[in-house]
Formats: sequence, structure tokens, C-alpha cells
Amino acid sequence: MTTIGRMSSSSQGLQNMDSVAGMQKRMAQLQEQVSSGKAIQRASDNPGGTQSVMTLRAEHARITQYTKNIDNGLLRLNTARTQVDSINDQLLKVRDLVIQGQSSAVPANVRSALAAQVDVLRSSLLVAANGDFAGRPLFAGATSGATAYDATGAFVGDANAVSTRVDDSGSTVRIELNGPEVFGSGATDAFALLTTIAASLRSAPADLAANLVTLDSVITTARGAQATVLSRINQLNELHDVTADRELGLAGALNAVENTDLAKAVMELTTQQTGYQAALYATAKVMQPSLMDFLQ
Amino acid sequence: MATWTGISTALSSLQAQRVAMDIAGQNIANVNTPGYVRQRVQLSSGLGVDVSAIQRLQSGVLGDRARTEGARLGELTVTSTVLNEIEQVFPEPSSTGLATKLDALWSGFADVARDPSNAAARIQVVEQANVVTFWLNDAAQRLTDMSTDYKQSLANLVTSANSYAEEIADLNIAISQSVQGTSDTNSLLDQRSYAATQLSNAIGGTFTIDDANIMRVALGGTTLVGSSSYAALQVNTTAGTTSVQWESNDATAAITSGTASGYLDTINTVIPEWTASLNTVAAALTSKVNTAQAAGYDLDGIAGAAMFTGTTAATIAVAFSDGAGIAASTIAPTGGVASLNGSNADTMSALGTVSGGPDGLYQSLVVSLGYSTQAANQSAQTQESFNSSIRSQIDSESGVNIDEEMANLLTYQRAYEAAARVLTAIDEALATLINRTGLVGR
Repeated sequence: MTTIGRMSSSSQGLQNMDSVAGMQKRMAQLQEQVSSGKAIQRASDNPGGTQSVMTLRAEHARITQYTKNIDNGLLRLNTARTQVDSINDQLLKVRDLVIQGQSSAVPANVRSALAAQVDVLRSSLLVAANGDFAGRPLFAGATSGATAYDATGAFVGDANAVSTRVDDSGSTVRIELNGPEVFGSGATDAFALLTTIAASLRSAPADLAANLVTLDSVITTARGAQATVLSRINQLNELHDVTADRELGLAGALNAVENTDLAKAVMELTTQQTGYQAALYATAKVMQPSLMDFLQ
Repeated sequence: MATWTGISTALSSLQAQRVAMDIAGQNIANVNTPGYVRQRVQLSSGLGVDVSAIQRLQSGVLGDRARTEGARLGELTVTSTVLNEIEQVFPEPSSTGLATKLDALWSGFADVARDPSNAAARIQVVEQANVVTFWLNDAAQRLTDMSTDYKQSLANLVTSANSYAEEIADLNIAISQSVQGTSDTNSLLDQRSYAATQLSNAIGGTFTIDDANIMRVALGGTTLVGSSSYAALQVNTTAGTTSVQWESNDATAAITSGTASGYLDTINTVIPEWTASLNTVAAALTSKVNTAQAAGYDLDGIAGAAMFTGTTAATIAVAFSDGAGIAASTIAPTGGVASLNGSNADTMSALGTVSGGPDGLYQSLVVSLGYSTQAANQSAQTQESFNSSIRSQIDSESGVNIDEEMANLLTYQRAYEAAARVLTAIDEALATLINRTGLVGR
């Protein structure tokens, strides 16, 4: 403040009002911070902080999506795993039946009973192959068709991978298995083979040995699929943890920039209030007396 | 010394003290009058005492400074107010700003990517796109409204500047016709000085007072107020540019400070600048999303159509209302059957992070607006405290102090009483001389 020799009555009042108004403004700001819980009310309060908040919020929105993607992927893969497990079990049962039928001691009528069982297992396998997740066939790629295999056991899906984004760099994880990856492809896929095996049991038991070799390779493919599903599930589980950690870290960072440090703000508010009261008191004391009070 | 000199001396004192008490009273009466300059009686001794002048205690230099700085403050205050208002249009960081709406749009695309067959997710993206375009349209509209409001404010300001200019010209005439150094002239000077401050705050200008006590005002060298007349101003908007003109010849008046300068800057530069900034956000949204759409195939297997039309914040709109139109798939339909691939929707869900995308542009808009507003607030605040220190200085010279006036009043009252006593004493002495002398032996 400038040194002033002479004070006029109105400037005395004005100066007091200026300083009181300044304190009121600062108090209002602090009160706003405390009551809203937000340290930044508008961008000009803290432009750098605003940038951080906006960046962190956008990142938070993206991470929420990655979490959803991962959860969705896990659900889908777990459903696929159930199907793949049961497919493996059923293929092993077929293998048992083939081995039973190979024995020359088995009479023809028993073989045809075994063939009937193979037929049943084939139908059951077809049901598993058309298993769905949220209304979409699990093993049919990105097709818009309702099934992965038609009634004859032919693959009607497509080979397009279904992947989901798991981080900002654009990394994706496949969240499905394609039909041929589970059942093999072409003339030696599981369905064609089971049809052949049933036929061999009924009329050409000599072919069963060769059938068994092919079946083993189908089983290997199915086991491979089982392992693939499990490893993808593990990968997503790990990503789930990593993403959850990041989300937590992000929430902490956002909290630090965006939210009011209540203890600090309340302390400052109290200090300001004390100052404000002192200023009011001083104003009242200074403004009140004039020479007139002392003239008789 | 003549016999009656004492009486006239006492009388002159009685009269002078009365005038002095009147002036003290006048000062006290105007303790809170804006622009009032305190007056002081200048006494001089001759035969008794004379009131030689009634002084108006103001320094010309400070007055000039106050006007210049007042004009600057007027301009800076407008700049800061306008930026704060613009900041209200972009309420960040909050859940009502565009950033949150864009985040929701990109999340919507991610939902579609997870399950492209989900009609609800698709329609939600279209709805969210509508929310975004509505927000942009609304922000553009609010900026336009602000511009209109400020044009109106400028027109009002110029009207009042005209009336202040007229008042100064009128007061110039009145002052030139009145006797200098009287209380009446002083009050005219106060009025003129007050009008000059108001005029300067409004439109700036150069103020000069000549030896004959005539105030002249010029804007960029052209006379606004002369010795007895003034030139009127008007507001004109041609080809989107608003200017203040001389009414006489439609030439642009040079306004470089004052509230009017702030308004002109707001209308011609500030609002158009931030509107342009917002337009780049809208244009980026349209181009990024439409480009991504064109790379994919919609639910019916048709190559993706443009999702947004318009490249300004005021005109941007969503082009389709059917969620099936979202080109979620990157895979062309095979044999007429559309693929339920979601890769393109996934790409679109990441548009929030692409360089040159709407999010980044919007963020830099908000941040640079924040910095500008902060700087403008600080300049206005600094100027304000500077002005208040000048005001204090002027006040310390020209303002009324009641204590001081009371003390003066006392002094003059006592002097009056003393003069009255002198009169009585002379009266008694003369009475003795006239009535008691020469009575010996009577």
C-alpha cells in the first residue's frame, strides 16, 4: 500500500471494505471447496490440474471398458471350457467303445449296440459344438448364423477370430475357439470320424484300428483346445488383476488432484474466518469514533 | 488609523469566518459524494481579512493517471469477465462437460464391440452421439448469444459515452462563463471531472485541460469533445466485424482502451476465437468417426455410412437414427451374410486417444481457456489494486476528512467568536470615548 499522509473519511471506509471483501471472497472459495469436495471448480482454478483430471477421467473410462472386456472374455472362455471339457470326455468314451468293438470276441449284435452308442455320443457332441454364449454360438467365429455345425456335422461358421481389447496399446486377446480348432477339420474332423466309426462297428470292424489312430489325433486336437482355453483364461485372469490394480491407482491419482484435501481446507477456512472476524472488529472500532463523539 | 477601521476589520473577519464555516459545512455534506473534491478557503490579510479564493484541492497529474488507469481497468475487467463467462460454457472438470459425454460415446462403441448383435448397445451409441452433438450445438449457441449480448452492451455503452461527452461540452460552456475560484465553479469542475472519469472508463481517450479551464477529449487524434461541442459515436456491424464509428462520417473511431475496447475485442476476437476452437473439436469428431465408419460394415453388411454431418459446433448432427448403421465389423459380408465381427467398433472405441481426435482438441481448448482466464483474472486484479492505490492517493488529497472539517469548524467558530468580541471591545471603547469623555465639571 502507498504511504498516505492524509486519510479521508470515505477512503478509510473504502479501504476497510476492500480488505474485508477480499477475505470474504477467499472464504467463499474455501467454502465452495469444502462443500463440493472438489478442489478444482473451474479450469482457471488450476489449468494444469484440470488437464490431469480430464486425462485421468478419460483413462478411467477406458479402463472400465477393459475391465468389462476382460470379464466378458472370461465368461465366454469359461463357458467354452465347460463345453471343451465335456467334448473331451465324450471323445474318450468313444475311444473306449472303439477298443471294445475291436476285440474279435465281440458278437455282431453287441457291436451294433456299440455303434448305436457312438451315434448318441455324436449327437451329444453336436449339441456341445453348438453351445452358445449370450445367444451366439461359441465355436462359430464371427458368423451371424445361429449355429457352428449343421445337423450333418458340417462346419457352417467362419474362421474370423473374436478378440477383445485389453489395454491402451491396442493389445487384444482371443476370447473364443473356432470349431475346427476343437474338432479338427475336413474329412477327418470329429463328426465325420464318428460317422465312420459307427459304420465300421456295424460292418467293417477291421477298419477300427485305423479309425482309432485318427480318433487319437482328433483327441489330441481337442486336448490342445482344452489347453488353449485354459491358457487364455489364465492370461485374462492375470490381466484382470493388472487392470484392477491400475484402476485403483488411477482412482487414487484422480482423488489426489480432483478432491479437496478436507483437513487442509477446513484448517485454512478456520484461519480465514479468524482473520475475517478480526478485520470486522477492527473496521467497527476504526469507523465508529470521530471527533464529533468528543466535542461537547 | 481611522476611527472606524477596527469595526470594519472585525466585520471582515466575521464575514470571512462565516464563509469558511460554510465551506466546512459543504465539505462535510459531501463526504460521500463520488467525485467531490474538498474545498478550502484561502484567506489573505488586507484591511482585516479577505476571502481571496475558494481552493479546489486536486492535482491534475493524479486525475490524468486515474483516468488512464481507469480506462485500462475497464478493458481488463471486461476481458476477465468474458473469459469467465466462456469458461461457464465449458464446465470442466465435471460430469456435465463434453469430456464425459465423449468418454460415454467411446464406451458405447466398446459395448458394441463386445457384442455386435446387441441392438440395445447399438441404439445407445446413437443416443450418446446425439447427446454429444446436442452439447456442441448448445455450446455454440451460448457463444453466439454471448456475442449478441455484448453487442447490445456496447450499444448501451456508446449511448452513455455520448451523453457524458455532451455533458462535458455543456460543462465547458458553463465553466467558461462562470467566475473562477468560487464554490459554484468548483462544483461544476467536480461534475466535469466525474463525467470525464466515466467517459474515460467507457471509451478511453486523451484528456487535456487548457489555461482557460476548457477540457478537450480526443480519440486517436480526432476531437470527441471541444470547447463547446462534442462529436457523437455509433456502433456499426459490417461483414461480421463490429466497430465504433463517428456518427458524422461513418469513419471508425480509434478505441484502444476502456470498457468499449474490451467489448470490441470480445465481439471481434475472443468469442470468434473460442468458437473456432470448438469448431475444430466438432470437425475432428465428424472426420474421425466417419473415416472409421467408412472402413467397416454395418449390421446389414453394407459399407459404413457417415455417422456425423456438419463440421462446426453449431451444425454438427447425427446422420442416422438406427443402431444397425454402426459399422462394427471389419469383415465384408460373405454370400450376402453380414459378419458379427466387432473389430471396427473396437477401433472406434479407441478414437478417444487418437492424435488429432476430438478429445485431445477439446482438452487443449479447456486447458488453454483455463490459463487465459487465470491470466486475465490476475491482470484485472493487479490493475484493480493499482487503481485503488491511485484512488487512495487522490482521496488523500481531495477526499473529505470529517475530523479535519470538525477541527476547521471549531477554529473558524472560535475566530468568529473572537471577532465578535473584538467588535464588542471596540464598541465599548468608542462608547467610553463618546459618552464618557468631556464630561468634566458637567
